[in-house]
Amino acid sequence: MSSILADLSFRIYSEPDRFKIDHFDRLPDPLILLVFNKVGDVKALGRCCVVSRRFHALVSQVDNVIVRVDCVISDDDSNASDSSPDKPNGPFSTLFRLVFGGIVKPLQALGQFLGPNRTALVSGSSASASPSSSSLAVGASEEDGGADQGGVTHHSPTQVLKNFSEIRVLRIELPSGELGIEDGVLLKWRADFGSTLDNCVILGASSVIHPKTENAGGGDDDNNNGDDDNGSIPDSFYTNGGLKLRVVWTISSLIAASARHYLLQPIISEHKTLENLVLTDADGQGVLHMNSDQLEELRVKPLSASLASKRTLVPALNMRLWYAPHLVLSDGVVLKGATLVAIRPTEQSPKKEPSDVSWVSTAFEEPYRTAARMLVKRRTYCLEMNSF
Amino acid sequence: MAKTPEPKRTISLKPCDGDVIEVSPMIAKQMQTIQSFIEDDSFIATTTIIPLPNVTAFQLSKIIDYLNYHSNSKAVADNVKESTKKFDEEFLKELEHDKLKELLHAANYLNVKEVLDFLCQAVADLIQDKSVKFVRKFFGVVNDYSVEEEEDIRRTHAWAFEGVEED
Repeated sequence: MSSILADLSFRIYSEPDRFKIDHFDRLPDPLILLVFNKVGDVKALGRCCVVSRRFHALVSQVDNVIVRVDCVISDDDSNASDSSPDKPNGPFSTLFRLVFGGIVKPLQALGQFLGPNRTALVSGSSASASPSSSSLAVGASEEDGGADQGGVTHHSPTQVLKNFSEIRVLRIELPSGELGIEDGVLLKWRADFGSTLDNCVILGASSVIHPKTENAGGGDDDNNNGDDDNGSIPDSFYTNGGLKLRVVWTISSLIAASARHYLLQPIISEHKTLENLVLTDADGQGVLHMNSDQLEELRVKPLSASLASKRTLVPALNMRLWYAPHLVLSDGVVLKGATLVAIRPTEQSPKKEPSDVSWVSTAFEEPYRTAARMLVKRRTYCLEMNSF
Repeated sequence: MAKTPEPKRTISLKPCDGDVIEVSPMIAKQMQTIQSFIEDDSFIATTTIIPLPNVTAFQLSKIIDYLNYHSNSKAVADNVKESTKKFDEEFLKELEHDKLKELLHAANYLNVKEVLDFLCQAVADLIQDKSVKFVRKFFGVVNDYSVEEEEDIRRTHAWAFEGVEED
């Protein structure tokens, strides 16, 4: 017996053998790397580079990085004096011919939906409706300003990521969503891109009503979830600006998404090891995803840019829209004027079974996943949009 | 441990500085280093004491505590999240920096993925917003840059110091 024991114990400590219980003993490299991969934050990792040569070398092997962008520098800010004040309107004024399958109603005046009225969504000054031409900056610092305006140095994510050679998972977080929306309005989008848009899902609601804490069960008479309307869109939707607002949400989301996609291009070409890329924002408004196949597609087939601005050209689209005037979620939250839009390029749409909505109902996190799942059960309205 | 599927079988682990600790095979299995013995010969594994010369009784019982708590709480639903979070917080609160590092060592040696992940995250959270000096001290790392080299690397990594207090 004792010989077996000796055998066992020999085998047990044969691996990292000389390690003693001694906290001065340094943690082995693989363990430090595990920790670094959990750190993720590019700034914290940048500071670890300064710690020692060994740490610097380990940081470059980190495969999971998060870049929190401090500010988005819009070209509109930097060349404010430039001559094109209405440039952002470019894509809006030229684009659309919307065709509603099945509904023939309100289409005469679509052009005007999309022009100056865009401000209905962006409520006046709240800016950046056109992320059409912008760049990102991380850790803007005040040192050695020199040529830069205002003595502020901006570091693009590309610069910041230069040290990393093995990133597989990259998450970039903008300080806020691009679309200025009014209080109470819900607007979320999720888009998947390869060389161009693969799909996009938009969830919006004109207002979100949280349940009163005292009588959580109350308001039962309201809880119809619009069941009495056969899932159809009420007539008033076309006349009271409801539809117009939805169209504006859709287009604004697509513009934001395609502008984000355009910004990612240099990062993707520099980091060949990337397998999963997410560009999100701190508000949780928009999420752009690219998986390894989509990243590879972009590397092989570069994106085509929109003529009007610095963003990826959005292909001709098929859209499906679901609407509920009143949607009650499980936690009692009510979405008024809840709208779900599922978008695919016209080219790839027919191949897929059109009734397949699983990708739509899983696009968002809870509680919005439930909302999407409830909405897709309702009547579907189809729309088309030209490339822009 | 009452709910162990194979009641009488426990694995005996002997830390370097204390009495033998009995663990259920369920728990032992999560320690990859132990698991490989059980796989090799489960009879021997259940009848002999496995010595762990690199792990203290304190570390071993911490790891077992963690695994026990988390394997029990997994089955239950949402309302457990809050208490799990509390358990994790308490678990870490008792650990000074050196103890945390040693436990990380032990978890690495025993190769317990769940504990390893948890502790790595804890260390990551700890150094997240800290200065270079703190990180050096925490890991016991000696700065091997020359003054000029460090200045240079600080300059090229200036973006990493935005909003961080140097102490």
